[in-house]
Amino acid sequence: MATHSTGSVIGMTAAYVAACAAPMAIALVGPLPAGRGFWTEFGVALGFAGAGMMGAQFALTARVPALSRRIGQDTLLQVHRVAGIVATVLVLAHPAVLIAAEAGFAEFFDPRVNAPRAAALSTATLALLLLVGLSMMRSRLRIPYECWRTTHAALAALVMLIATAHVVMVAHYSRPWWRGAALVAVLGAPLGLLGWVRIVRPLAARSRPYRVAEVRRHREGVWTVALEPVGHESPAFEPGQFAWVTFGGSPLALRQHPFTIASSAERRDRIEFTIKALGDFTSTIGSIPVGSSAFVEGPAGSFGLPRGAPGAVLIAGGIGITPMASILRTMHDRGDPRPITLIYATRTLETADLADALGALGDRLDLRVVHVLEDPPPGWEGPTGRITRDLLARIIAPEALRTHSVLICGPDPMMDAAENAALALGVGRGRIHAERFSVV
Amino acid sequence: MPPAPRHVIVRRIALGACVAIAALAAAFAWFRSA
Repeated sequence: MATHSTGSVIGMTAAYVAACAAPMAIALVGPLPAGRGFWTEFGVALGFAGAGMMGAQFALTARVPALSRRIGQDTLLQVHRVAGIVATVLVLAHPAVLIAAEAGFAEFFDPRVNAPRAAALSTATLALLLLVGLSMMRSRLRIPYECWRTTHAALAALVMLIATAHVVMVAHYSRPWWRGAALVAVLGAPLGLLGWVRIVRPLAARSRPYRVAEVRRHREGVWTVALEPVGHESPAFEPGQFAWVTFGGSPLALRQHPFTIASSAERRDRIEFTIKALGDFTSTIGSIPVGSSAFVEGPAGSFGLPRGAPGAVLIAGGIGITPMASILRTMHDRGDPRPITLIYATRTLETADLADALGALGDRLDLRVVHVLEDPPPGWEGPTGRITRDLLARIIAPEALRTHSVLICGPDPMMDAAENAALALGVGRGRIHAERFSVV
Repeated sequence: MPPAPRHVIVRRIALGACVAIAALAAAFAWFRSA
């Protein structure tokens, strides 16, 4: 997983700030219109800054493989979330500050002065509020992932389109023509990126179809789906990475979901995903017909065991076992001798999916599996309850705490607990690897 | 105080970047109104 020096974090942050400030910078190049009061110009600058940040939002989620591997998809999503809220505040402050500075700016929203303009700007404002509101409320409103994802892209494209047109039509900083063209290029580029991500790349995936080779039930709501590439070799991946999978005839289908690869990175002729039904499309996994088509985009993500780590402690909660399964299976196939402690937190032994399969890898692995049960059966003598500092101190050998990597995957509360416990036990942050996806 | 988890640090850095962008907007306005 990506760990970074202070210098590279500063460099990446500076690059992000520069990208967001690009529209402001372009507005200052060449002959300038007469300056106005501070608050008027500040209101304008907030619009440019907000539009620049909104544009950068498209790049953060464009699934650029190099960015995803270097920075981590979860980090990109965390930044996307914070920046989305701040960009909205800046964009909404743009008219508010302008109108407070000069009441005449209110005419931009007055349909009697210019009906199409007032309609477009009101639409963009509402779309922006809806865009952020739906994302923050998705889980509470139980909006299905695929429905939210399509709406999110459509609203974002609409807002960006109106923002770009607005900059050109206000025509204060978009003259001479070449400055306007540069602003359109910078603010329009995100729309091109969206088209590339949502249309061009899925179409390219048509030439690399997969076939559903097996759908295996583990227990109620937990399935393993195996895919085999048809007429091509599936791309190499690192154990711990994930991919976006579309089931069905068209790669353009809306039902594209990110799933962690659970199989060995040494088996590129067959990749497996172990999936837990979460109430949306994933609930229909069991009914996917064997032999049907699927499309895979990826791999992505930076979660995994660093090559130089002398050993690892894997802490999995529930379905968070899937990246650990890929790591262990790959180590097994490669004859990797490094010592591994797998701490597997589940409600009961029956809900410890894949435990038997992973336990069987012990013939070729230096593997110790420790189950932590929330609801233990009578006579259980192993650890119980939540992951705490004391529990980890009892399970993990002092030597491992000093040198091994700690990989954590599971539900958010469990990840918080495990990460805080590892930090409290003195495990350096550079040795703790956790990937979080529950952003919306 | 124990060190903060990684995702908390990521959020802090992202917020810091947002503050820097807002500061650049203020600098833009100061430059244009001076």
